[in-house]
Amino acid sequence: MSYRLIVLCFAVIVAQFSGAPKVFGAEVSEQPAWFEKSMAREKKVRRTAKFKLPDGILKGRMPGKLVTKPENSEGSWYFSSNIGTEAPFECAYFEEPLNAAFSTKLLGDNVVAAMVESVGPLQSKAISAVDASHVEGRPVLALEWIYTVGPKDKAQVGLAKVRSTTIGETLLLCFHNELGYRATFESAFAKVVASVEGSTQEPAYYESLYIQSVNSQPVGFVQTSFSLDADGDTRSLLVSTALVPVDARTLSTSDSTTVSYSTPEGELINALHSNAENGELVIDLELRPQEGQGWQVAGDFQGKPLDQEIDSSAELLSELGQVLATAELQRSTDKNSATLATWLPDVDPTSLLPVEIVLNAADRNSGQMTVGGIDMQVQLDRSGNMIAGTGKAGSATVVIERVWERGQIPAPKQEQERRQQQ
Amino acid sequence: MRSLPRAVMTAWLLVTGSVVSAADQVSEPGLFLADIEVTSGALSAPVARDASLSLDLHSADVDDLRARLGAVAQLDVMSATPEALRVRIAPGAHFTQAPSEREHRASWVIDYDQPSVIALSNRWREQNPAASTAVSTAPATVSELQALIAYTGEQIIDPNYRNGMLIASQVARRREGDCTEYGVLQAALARSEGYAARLVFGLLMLAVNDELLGYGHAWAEIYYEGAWHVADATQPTLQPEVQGVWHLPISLFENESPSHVLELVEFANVRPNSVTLVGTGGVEDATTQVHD
Repeated sequence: MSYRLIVLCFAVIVAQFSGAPKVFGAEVSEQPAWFEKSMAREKKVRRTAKFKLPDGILKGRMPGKLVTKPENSEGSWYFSSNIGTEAPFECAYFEEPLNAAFSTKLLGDNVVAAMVESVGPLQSKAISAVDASHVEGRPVLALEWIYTVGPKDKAQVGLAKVRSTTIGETLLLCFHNELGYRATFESAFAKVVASVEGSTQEPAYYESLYIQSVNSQPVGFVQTSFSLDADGDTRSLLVSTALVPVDARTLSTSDSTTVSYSTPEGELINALHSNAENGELVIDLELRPQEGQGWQVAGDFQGKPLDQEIDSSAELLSELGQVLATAELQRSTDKNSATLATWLPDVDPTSLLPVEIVLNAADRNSGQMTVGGIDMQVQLDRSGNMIAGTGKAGSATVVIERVWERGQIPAPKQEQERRQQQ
Repeated sequence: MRSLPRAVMTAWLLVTGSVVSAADQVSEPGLFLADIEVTSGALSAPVARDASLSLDLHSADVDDLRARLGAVAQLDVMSATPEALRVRIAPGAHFTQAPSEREHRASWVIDYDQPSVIALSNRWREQNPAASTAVSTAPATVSELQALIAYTGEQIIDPNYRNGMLIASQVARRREGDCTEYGVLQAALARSEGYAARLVFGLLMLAVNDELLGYGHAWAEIYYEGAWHVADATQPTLQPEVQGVWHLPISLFENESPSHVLELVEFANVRPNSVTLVGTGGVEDATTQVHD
């Protein structure tokens, strides 16, 4: 399993354990009947319409009747359809890689900002829902803002619903700005996601998708992808996204990407890791081997340059190597535990951290993993990949669960040979 | 689709013919963030600002918690069970470890040598030309240090819980954050003025509307006149609703290197998950109010 999976959730959550509110509120009344009625509205949308972006970069089906055909504007494509509600079902596709969590939040903010522009001043804005799920292996982040805009005595209430998915490394976002129609919007978005085909996906020999939850609230996902390069080495891509509600009106976003290269045996060749917190790049580091022994980490960390040697003679495992090593331990007849050196820049970019794996004697597909004070109970499949993990961070229970996978690790022999022959 | 708890929804929506929001008056705690459950939190009588609190701290690691609190002044560990530690705490509790060179130096986290922090330090000196510094011949007065704490608080123009933990140069540049950012900036500005200063993680107990509330919190400690003093730039004592403030220090933030996240993990592991109010006042009062 990839040990980074253990720390990704914790890195987002752990630092949130401090902070005292500066104001205090009182309990207030129930919502009015008209509001409840408006929120309960739904529509059945059976019809779909084809859409296609030029050069086949994206095609699929939109629910309802296409109102706006794809229009390009500064690298993004906008299209919309009528799904029988007052507000259209609107989508935007971005050809360039974008941070999914931050972009989802930003779109929600922009929808509300547009209402302020057209109706009047913002009276209130609160998070109504956050979710992380998937449609046939494509990750879906969801966010709802409930807001009131306009003059205080004539304020209007609205519900901005946003959903996003990644297609390869590109991003598709859709939104619907009207009270109610929550299930309608969810279903409409799922139809688009299930139908779209992009041209950016890399062929991978193994892919998986995990959902991250904190105290049973899904907050994000982790995607892993392993593909072979021309040399027969493995390129692993790990994308983690989290949209964390930290109070009734504030979202914290985290988007990280790790690309690493590995020998077929699982030794790390080099790695790149970047992480944007709330849209600001806070980690942008490269790990590369030094001449002789040890590693060099270089780049930017928390807004400052970092260039440091990591003096270690320990063998450093790649993401692939971590999976292979875990599987080997599972197969071992004389060992129940192993301690392996890993580079986990979210926790400590300047050293190699020991990850301890202790398998249950009675069930070698489960055990405990410990790194940097973080403990996680894990369930593993036979190939050394994590099925699910559960850990505690203070009062928070963090769960990461695989919801989808395709392919196998290691890469099929014939695929490796074919690559090497090329 | 998982909606947020209904309490969050109802707390902001107030209806008086048309929809009017109460959001500006409400700060709901997040889903899993700083709030600590306080049982028996109702205060039987208005509590004096200088009163002591007797508390049971429920933690997953009571032994570790006990070892840490052994080095705290203004706090007595009264008894322990495997599940909880009973303590009596007075306002101004602080760690007793003597100041060292480390608490004067610029570090990765408390990086007062960076341009954004230097700019804030320079502005402080421009605004307070008469203020002493720890390195000057005239010792600082309490009011000067209080002014520095207030100045630090004023630099955060966008208080929010959005960030994990920013380092001082990021805080000075972005001017946002929660108590962690206030504390980091406070330590940086104090060190810049020549004081020994450090960051502390712990609990903040507040008496509000005759109820005791608890939060995970961070603040700075500044050393002057031969002792460490709580320097909380969030200034909870200035909140009109707050009748009493107790800082309960748990972790000294000693790893100020790029690997400082490990310190946060450690704090999260030992931090009490709930607190029971046993009593207020002195030892005698606390003893008589123990709920068996």
